[in-house]
Amino acid sequence: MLKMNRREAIAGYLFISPWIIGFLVFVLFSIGMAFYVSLTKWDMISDKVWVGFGNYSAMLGESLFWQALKVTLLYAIFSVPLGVAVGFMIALLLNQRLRGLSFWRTVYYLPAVLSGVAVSLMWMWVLNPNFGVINLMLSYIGINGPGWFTDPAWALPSLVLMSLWGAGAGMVIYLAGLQGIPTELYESAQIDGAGPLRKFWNITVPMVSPVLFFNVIMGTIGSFQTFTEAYVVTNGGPKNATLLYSLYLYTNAFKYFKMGYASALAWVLFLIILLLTLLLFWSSKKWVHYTD
Amino acid sequence: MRLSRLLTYSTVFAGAILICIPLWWMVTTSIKPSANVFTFPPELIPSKVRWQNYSDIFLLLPFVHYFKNTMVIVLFTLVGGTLSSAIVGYGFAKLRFPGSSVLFMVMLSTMMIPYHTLIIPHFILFKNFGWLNTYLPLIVPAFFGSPFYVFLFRQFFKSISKEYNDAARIDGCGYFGTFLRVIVPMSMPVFGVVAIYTFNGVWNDFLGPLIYINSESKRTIQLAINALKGLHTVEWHLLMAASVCALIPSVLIFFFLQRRMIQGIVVSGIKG
Repeated sequence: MLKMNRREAIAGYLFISPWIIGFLVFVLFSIGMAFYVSLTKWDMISDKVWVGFGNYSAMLGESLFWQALKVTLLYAIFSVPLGVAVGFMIALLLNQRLRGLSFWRTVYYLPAVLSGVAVSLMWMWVLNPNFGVINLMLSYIGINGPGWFTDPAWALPSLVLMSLWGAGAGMVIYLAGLQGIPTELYESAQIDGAGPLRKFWNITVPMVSPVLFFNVIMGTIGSFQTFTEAYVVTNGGPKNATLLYSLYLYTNAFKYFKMGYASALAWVLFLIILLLTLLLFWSSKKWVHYTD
Repeated sequence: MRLSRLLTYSTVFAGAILICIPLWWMVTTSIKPSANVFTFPPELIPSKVRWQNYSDIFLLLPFVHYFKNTMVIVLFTLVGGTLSSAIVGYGFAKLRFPGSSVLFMVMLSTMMIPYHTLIIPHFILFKNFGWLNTYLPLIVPAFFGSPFYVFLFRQFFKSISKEYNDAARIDGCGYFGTFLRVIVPMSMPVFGVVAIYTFNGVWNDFLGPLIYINSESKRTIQLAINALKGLHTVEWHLLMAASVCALIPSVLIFFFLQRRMIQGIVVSGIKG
């Protein structure tokens, strides 16, 4: 029996060995190397020069770093909660018995499978201030549309708008969550005389809160990795209004080849995400409800 | 009651219209003659249709070549990534070994490491291997499994009854034989889901090729459209036609396989 278990354990390690190797090389070793490089000045051609924490202190005095941090945090603060809320509303809407339900679900989910440069180009053209369709439609109702990506005040909101277009992505998971709520809960609430709004806040929301939480976490991490949109559409402009952290990091690493400084940025990004995740987990005790 | 139904339907309808407006604008622009692109006010419905825009972009750029380039990456990633994730997922789901749950938690937590934290060390690593301007940096990492897909496979394999394993073991199959001959054939739905996600991920990946590929002949579709944008900044009819072409594979896969895609997410039971 013991021998059998041992054989199974060996097989188990062999089965997961691809991931273990990948983890050691592409995660653990890589993170370590990034930290080492972050303590140097290096352009990948000449030798590394040891600067200790010089890159980190340089970062704090760099106004573009603070701009990138501000832009990314603003983007996350608006795009994540709005995205989760809109996605959840879509799921609520499409969790009813409607005619052509699968057609509607297809339409709402479609943007989730579309991404890349093509979608960025599409939005550039859709939000073109003079010849785009959005300002055309706004003009029908007498609104003089803004300059969108060309206006420093509107460029970041435009990126948020772009991200909301794909909010239907979360719908599938929310629907699964909604359908997992036992109907008895609603029935007993009905007997107790609870109205639809009460049922929503006291049953629906707590019951799907783990799913909402999962999406908030993944959405937050995702928002810090948004790159293609900013690179293709605005390249950080106008006036650095859309200088997302990932773009700032990319520019330093692969345009200026400031590998040391960019690695320090990478490490700070890692710490920020870690901090935000811990903060979200801590806050989740107050609002996420686990049944089991 | 009637009123609330009406309200629901009109909301659903209005939302669907909002989602379709950008797509409509892209598709209609892609078939307008260049003279009709910059009219004021813009044309919501094209007054003239010019299908040659599509043949024009194939003349401007060797799209078929870029399509092939991208498919090379897609195919290798698809095979390597799916198989390795499945193997790892099986190890976590069905085999008992010390530390398995801790390692599984470690794996899940690596999903929270931002990709941008790792691009620089990866770049240095692959540069030392002499892999710059090849597809290897975009393909090889997939062969070590990706945490999210491992997670999907594990959830699916866990739902398979233990008796299948035992029966196969009695018939003399080793652990790997059991996996390959018994488990894989009955897990086609989850393989399908992972394959679809992999396809979409690789097809639409921009940052990876942007970092590693620098010769024109090795460009992927995403790099090619981005280059087209640089060359033909104001020719929106061409840019939109190219964009439509780049999106067609994802749309086709979605329409034909959406039930499978959506089921996959639900079956794997991502509930936080």
